[in-house]
Amino acid sequence: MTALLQLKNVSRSFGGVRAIHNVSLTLEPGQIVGLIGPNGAGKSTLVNIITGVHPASSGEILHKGEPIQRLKPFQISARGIARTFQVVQPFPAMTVVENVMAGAMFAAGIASMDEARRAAMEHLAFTGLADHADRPAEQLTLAYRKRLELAKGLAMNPHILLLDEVNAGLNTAEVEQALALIRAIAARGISIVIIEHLLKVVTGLCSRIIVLHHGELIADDPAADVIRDPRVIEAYLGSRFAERQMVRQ
Amino acid sequence: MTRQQLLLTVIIAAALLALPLIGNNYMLRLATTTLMYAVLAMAWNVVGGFAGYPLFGIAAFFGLGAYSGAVVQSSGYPIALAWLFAVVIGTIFAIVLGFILLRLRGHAFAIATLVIAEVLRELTNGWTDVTGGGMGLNLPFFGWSPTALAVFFFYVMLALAAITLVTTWIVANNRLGFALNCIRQNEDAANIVGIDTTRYKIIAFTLSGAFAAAAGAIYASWTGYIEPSDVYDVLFSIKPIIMALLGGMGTVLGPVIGAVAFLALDEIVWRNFLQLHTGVLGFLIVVLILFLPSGLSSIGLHRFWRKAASA
Repeated sequence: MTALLQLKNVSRSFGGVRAIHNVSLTLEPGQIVGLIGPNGAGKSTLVNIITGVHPASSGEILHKGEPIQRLKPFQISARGIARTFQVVQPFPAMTVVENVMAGAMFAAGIASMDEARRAAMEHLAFTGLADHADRPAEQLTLAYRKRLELAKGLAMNPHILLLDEVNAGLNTAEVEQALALIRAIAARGISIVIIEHLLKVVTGLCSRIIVLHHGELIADDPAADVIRDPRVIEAYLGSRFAERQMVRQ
Repeated sequence: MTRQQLLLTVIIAAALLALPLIGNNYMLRLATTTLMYAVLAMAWNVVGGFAGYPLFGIAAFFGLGAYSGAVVQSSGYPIALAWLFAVVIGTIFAIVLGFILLRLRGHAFAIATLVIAEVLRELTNGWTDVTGGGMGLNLPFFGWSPTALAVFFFYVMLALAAITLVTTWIVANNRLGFALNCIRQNEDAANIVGIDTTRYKIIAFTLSGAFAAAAGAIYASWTGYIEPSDVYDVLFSIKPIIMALLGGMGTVLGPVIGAVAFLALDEIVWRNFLQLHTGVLGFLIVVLILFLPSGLSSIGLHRFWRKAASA
């Protein structure tokens, strides 16, 4: 069976900097996968490569067996791969519902604007933003803007959703709500890759965790194994701490 | 559209259609000029207002349209064919140019589009065999009375303005307008939500080019004589921007309101301050844009209508 999404030896350099080096992985339908790694490990770059924002310098990306590494971002969205941005990217002067309509009209290809508005309202209700539908997006709080990103992503009718730090900058209560939302999205059968710094969130949500360090994939294992992996501990906390952990185990 | 708005539209349309019966040739000339600038401001508005790309190149399309039409017309072809040819040339030029220039953003785009008119002016100057070079180009004389000519070109320009306005309205209420709106606010995000930004930008650019070229071709036939420094004048690039700013960028009626306001101001100031005319006009425009950054169309028309309705 062909994987939903498969990366084969993907690399990307910016000038002399190897942001992503020789990364291979596969994503199966219905999975929630955590993507972690220290700052600058290349997590966001990997998402940018998959979505065509920064095309891969080499390697191959297959979506349902078809190569997509040469497609433009709008073509990749139309194939059902949606994403959110670490720094939220709303259309500030448009209303919340219009923001979501954009995803429904273009990526999901709904021809009629009325139909797109109806679809957008459903996604707003699902993400708890229905009361704010007619407010300009720029007036929303950060937590709501993050939800707007989710609603916009859902409106694109994806089967893969890449979430780039949807919880960054949120307080504990807001994180809890966001997690409930992400679980509800996964329950719809959408595969999710989530970039996250809070390990508690990743381990609570994901069955599988991928770890990047200096642009290389250093671990791709079930969640419980990854957090005990000495290479992962070394990447996060340095070699001396990793040795101490090993001795204790 | 409310009943009041419909009524106002009908009154304005009737007044415009009846203008040749009421006004003299001078008024007709002024009205034709206003309509021409309204077309240019609306043409600019598609790229500059809706898509938010700082276009400084309307003069390039205007001049190209003027010369394309003039060359065909002076070769003895019917005037309608000349205008059609100008629109076709303007459209093709805009597609090719858009494909190249729309990779640029912000200041780089502004400067690149500013230069195009200068390049075309030099090319027109150099291609003496076809364009007459710096000597300019005389267009065949109709043999009509000045009044008949004034009325004819007034109606032609009115028709073009009406077509441009309807097109702008359709764009604004359509996927294209929605996409351009997204592109203006956040082009990267627009791409990610599935908008083929390059395609929509080129469509917008092409609409701008086609309408400006049409206005140029009609202008050439109307004045009967064109020269490069006249039709490629940088003011044809700048004035439409000021008009759109004055009336309200990215709105449907803003550019029209702006064109009328600008030329009315121009006329009043010119009559009263002959010597300081440009200075006073410039000052007034700066003040207006400072205090009304969203343009004249942002003045509480809604409130006005509500009052009018409840009275």
